[in-house]
Amino acid sequence: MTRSLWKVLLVGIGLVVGTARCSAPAAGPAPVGGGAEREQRLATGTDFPAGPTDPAKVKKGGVLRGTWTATFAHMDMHQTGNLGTWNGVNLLYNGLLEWDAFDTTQQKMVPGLADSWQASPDGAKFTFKMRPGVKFHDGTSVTAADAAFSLNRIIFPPKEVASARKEQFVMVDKVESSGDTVTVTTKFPSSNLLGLLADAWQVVVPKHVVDQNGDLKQVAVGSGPYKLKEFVPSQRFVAVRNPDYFKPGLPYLDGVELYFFAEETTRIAALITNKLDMVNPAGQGLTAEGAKDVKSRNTPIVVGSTPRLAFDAWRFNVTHAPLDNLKVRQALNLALDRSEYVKFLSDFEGVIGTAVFPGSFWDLPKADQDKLVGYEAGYEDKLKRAKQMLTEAGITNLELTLMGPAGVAFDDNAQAIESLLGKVGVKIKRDPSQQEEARNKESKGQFDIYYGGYGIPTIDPGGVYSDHYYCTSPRNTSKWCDKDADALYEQQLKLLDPQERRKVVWEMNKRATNGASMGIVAWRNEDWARWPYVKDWVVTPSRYTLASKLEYVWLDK
Amino acid sequence: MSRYLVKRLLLAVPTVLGLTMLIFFTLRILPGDIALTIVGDDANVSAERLDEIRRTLHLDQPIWVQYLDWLRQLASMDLGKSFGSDYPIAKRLLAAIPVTFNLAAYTLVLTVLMAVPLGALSAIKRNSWVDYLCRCLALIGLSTPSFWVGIITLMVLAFSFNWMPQITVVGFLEDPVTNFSQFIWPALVLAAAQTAVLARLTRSALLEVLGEDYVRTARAKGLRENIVLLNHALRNALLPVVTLLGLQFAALMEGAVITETVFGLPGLGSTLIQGINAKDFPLIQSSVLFIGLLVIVINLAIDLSYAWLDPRIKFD
Repeated sequence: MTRSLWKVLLVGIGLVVGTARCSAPAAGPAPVGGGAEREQRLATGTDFPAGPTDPAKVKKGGVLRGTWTATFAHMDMHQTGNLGTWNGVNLLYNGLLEWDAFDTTQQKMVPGLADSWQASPDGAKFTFKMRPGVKFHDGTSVTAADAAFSLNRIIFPPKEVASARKEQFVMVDKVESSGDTVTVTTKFPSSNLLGLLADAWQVVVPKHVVDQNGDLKQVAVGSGPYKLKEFVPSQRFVAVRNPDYFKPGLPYLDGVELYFFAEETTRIAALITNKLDMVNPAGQGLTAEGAKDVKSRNTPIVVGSTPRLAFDAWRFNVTHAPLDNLKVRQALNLALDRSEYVKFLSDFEGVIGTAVFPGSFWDLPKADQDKLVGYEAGYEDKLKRAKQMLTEAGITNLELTLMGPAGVAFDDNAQAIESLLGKVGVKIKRDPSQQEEARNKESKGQFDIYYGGYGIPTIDPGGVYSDHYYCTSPRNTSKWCDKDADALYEQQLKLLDPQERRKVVWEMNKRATNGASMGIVAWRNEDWARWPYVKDWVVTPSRYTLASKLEYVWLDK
Repeated sequence: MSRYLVKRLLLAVPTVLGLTMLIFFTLRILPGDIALTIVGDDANVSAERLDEIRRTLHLDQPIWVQYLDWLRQLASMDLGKSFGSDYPIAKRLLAAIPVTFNLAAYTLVLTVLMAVPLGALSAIKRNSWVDYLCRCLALIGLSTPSFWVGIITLMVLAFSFNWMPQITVVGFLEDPVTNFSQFIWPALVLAAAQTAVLARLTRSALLEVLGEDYVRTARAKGLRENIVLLNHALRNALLPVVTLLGLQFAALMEGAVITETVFGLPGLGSTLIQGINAKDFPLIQSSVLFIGLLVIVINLAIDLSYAWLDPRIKFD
């Protein structure tokens, strides 16, 4: 009996020790630091083709089956930023110009419905010449009037249109058309207007269809490579080849079918049993765990992880004392060392960065980044400084509420924040909420610290700043306001020389980061998978490029 | 019987009205903002624009006005459109209901085919190893969570046999073989738990009937055992079984959410969950109302079937 009891005790101790080891924060993969390493990562990512395959070698036909996200609102691209809408509906439309499908650094724009464009010497007037002979899916011609109508609908929306991107175009004075040209006049020289127009949300829609239907929520008549065949919200989106597409020979596919699966196991099962050709990060991708699962199966499926324009961040509500004190915020940022932080994130794949996309032309040199609050080396020294700063600010027994969307990501980040801030004597009370409720509370400022994931549409350096730091931005829920930083933002918008602009962007980024209202932890990778016969499918950092239109994709089977 | 039917139908009216009030007002007190859901994650929209969205959805109206508007719509057989997408609710439900009905039908057939013989065998061979085995199987079916069974089933099919049902649902009349292959596995998953419950009920109901005097008399008359069981005992034992079957069908039609989700079936349950996630009030209201009406109808059908099963039962 005694011997049995000892055995039971030993087994019990073994179980306790084993469980304790399993629940310690897993040491994640070493985060990529920056500089040339980051640029390498950005430029190559994986074995994407540098350009399209010679059309003579392409096998035409077939239907590509991918995944679709459920968060579908409606089909009116001007009135939503919903990924479910994007994933399917972007196949049906074009913009005046577009980001190149094969450029993973997102620096090259290519003609879309405008076959050429010019900027005036003062950078305040942009003239686009429309490509002749392009037709909408209903056979009517795409005109400059349609393009001007579309841009006005986004930038100067009528009362019944809730434009999702109006605030991005504050620099625009007017949009006009004459003959086959569209002219956009800005209030001041604009360095980022073309980039914003190349963002594939800015699609050209037929005026007569909008006039007839009131909006485009339930109807989609574009000029894109595919035409809508059917869609059922949260189930499937089916598009067929547009035989009259203005790019000769394209698209190569007969159609695209996108399916929604709520459960990742089902998605993976469908991929492995070849019911799907790919799992698409613009729709529903894979978690890191799911990607590992697919890799472990004995299949030829190609699994990849590529940089995306998405980052995790915490934000402090600077209207809540003592977070209104810059020194307090900087102290907390010192404690929330990024390299230590990412160790708490399960399945972390990404790169530590600041408010511009790491590895891009606009990114800070690593030496400069390492001088920013929260990014310096020497964790122990930073902790000492943080404690000292808090003491000098008279802060003792500080308790803060951490709010965010409930889930594994929140739990990981909450653990990181609790542990790291705990080292400087700050207690954290968790307040996870359901996704939409969390956004609602965030927008109303009902938090001390908010953790969330965010995305930006383009690598343009103003993207993060204009959304999350600009004084009057609706998404600046920290309510941080630095007029000097805003002035730098406005200045860089007007600088046409990229080198000059970059210098101002760097200063803007440094000010925003050292303002310590929002702490960008890291820019994430996203995981995807495809069968090897799916060719010329490129995952660009921004979803909103020509790559997502699948016009060059073909099936080698 | 007709007086009974009319009485029941009249009683259904306040029930349905109460149901509409419960559905409608409960939704309005839930947290979250539909306007944020509609604009999506990658939009930077001002507060004025969000207010505009709420105005177009009439969410700025007093709540009782919104409720009456909805009742007016229902009275004119108009289920309205989804918030945000403007997709017709009727179209969405007409696509989802047959999928769930299909799944429920397969599940019920499997359940009856498995549970009644299992329960009967268990009753007949009471306290034998057969009885213990049947009860053990029933307990396993009852205690194993259906989501786990579903995921394991899918994983075994996909990862061990490299097979998965077709992902686009095909109607039974369109292609019965493909339809069968799509629904048999999720139906088996659901039937596992249902069979357990029904088998135990069949066993206890049959045991009670087998102890009755008329069964003893039938045996004493020299009737064969299978005649005694099938013609006399089982028929009378079926009353509670039919009740449960009806309730199980109603529960299945509410949507076996997890099984539908695991197997990627776009049925009523998964549609309802998507509506809840999207805060699509019209979709949620119509789905829940449909389910409520179905439960009322099924209960009525069950009650009316008693008269057929037991001629002694009369309705006033």
